[in-house]
Amino acid sequence: MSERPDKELADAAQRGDGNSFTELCGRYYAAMVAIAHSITGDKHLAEDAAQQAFATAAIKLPELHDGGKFAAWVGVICRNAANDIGRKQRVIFNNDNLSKLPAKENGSPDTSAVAVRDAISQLTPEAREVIYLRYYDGMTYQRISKVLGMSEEAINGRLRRAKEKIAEHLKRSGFCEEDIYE
Amino acid sequence: MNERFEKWLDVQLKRIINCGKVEFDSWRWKQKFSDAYQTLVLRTVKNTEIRQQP
Repeated sequence: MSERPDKELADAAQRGDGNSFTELCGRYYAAMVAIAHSITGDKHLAEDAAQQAFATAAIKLPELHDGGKFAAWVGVICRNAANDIGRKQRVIFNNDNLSKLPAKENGSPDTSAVAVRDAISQLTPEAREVIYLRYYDGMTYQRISKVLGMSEEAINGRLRRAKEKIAEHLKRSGFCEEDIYE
Repeated sequence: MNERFEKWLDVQLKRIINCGKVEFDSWRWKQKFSDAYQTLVLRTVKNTEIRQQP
């Protein structure tokens, strides 16, 4: 069964249909958590920010002029909510609050994963955000495009540049490609 | 970036960033943000009242 278009749901929500609104929330929850996680570096705070963003959106919904742009609109609200929560909790993104990584099978620390984590923390907020959207839940380019309000080609370009930055950082910190074949 | 390195980086990024599936719990959200949800659904009542006015 094909999903109802965002515009149809957002228009119904603007007329007070709560089920349509929560359907939109379910559709974009992972994306909002990914955006907020890229800002706070903490999954639980990210979930709080995403839920707060939907609450703000429920109140401000009459201000949304094009229901088809719901995802990008709520994305802006979510960024603000995550920044507010981050400031209040004095949380800034750093590589300490990224998810804990398993060690290698032999118990030694996974140095390559640590290096990639460090590289992610050095990215600009925009670059980190697109990386999170893509890898958080294997989100499609189509969905990312709706959330960022950009074309799929632009997303592809931003993603590629972000990965190149990570590669550059890895190289600068002495990590060489041979390390990946260990 | 060569293809092999890019594939390796993809795997690393998935491992580092993927924190498990997150699901929106509509019932809990409605409880936690009942004021916001009520603001939203009360628009139905207002819309209905406007339509019913002669």
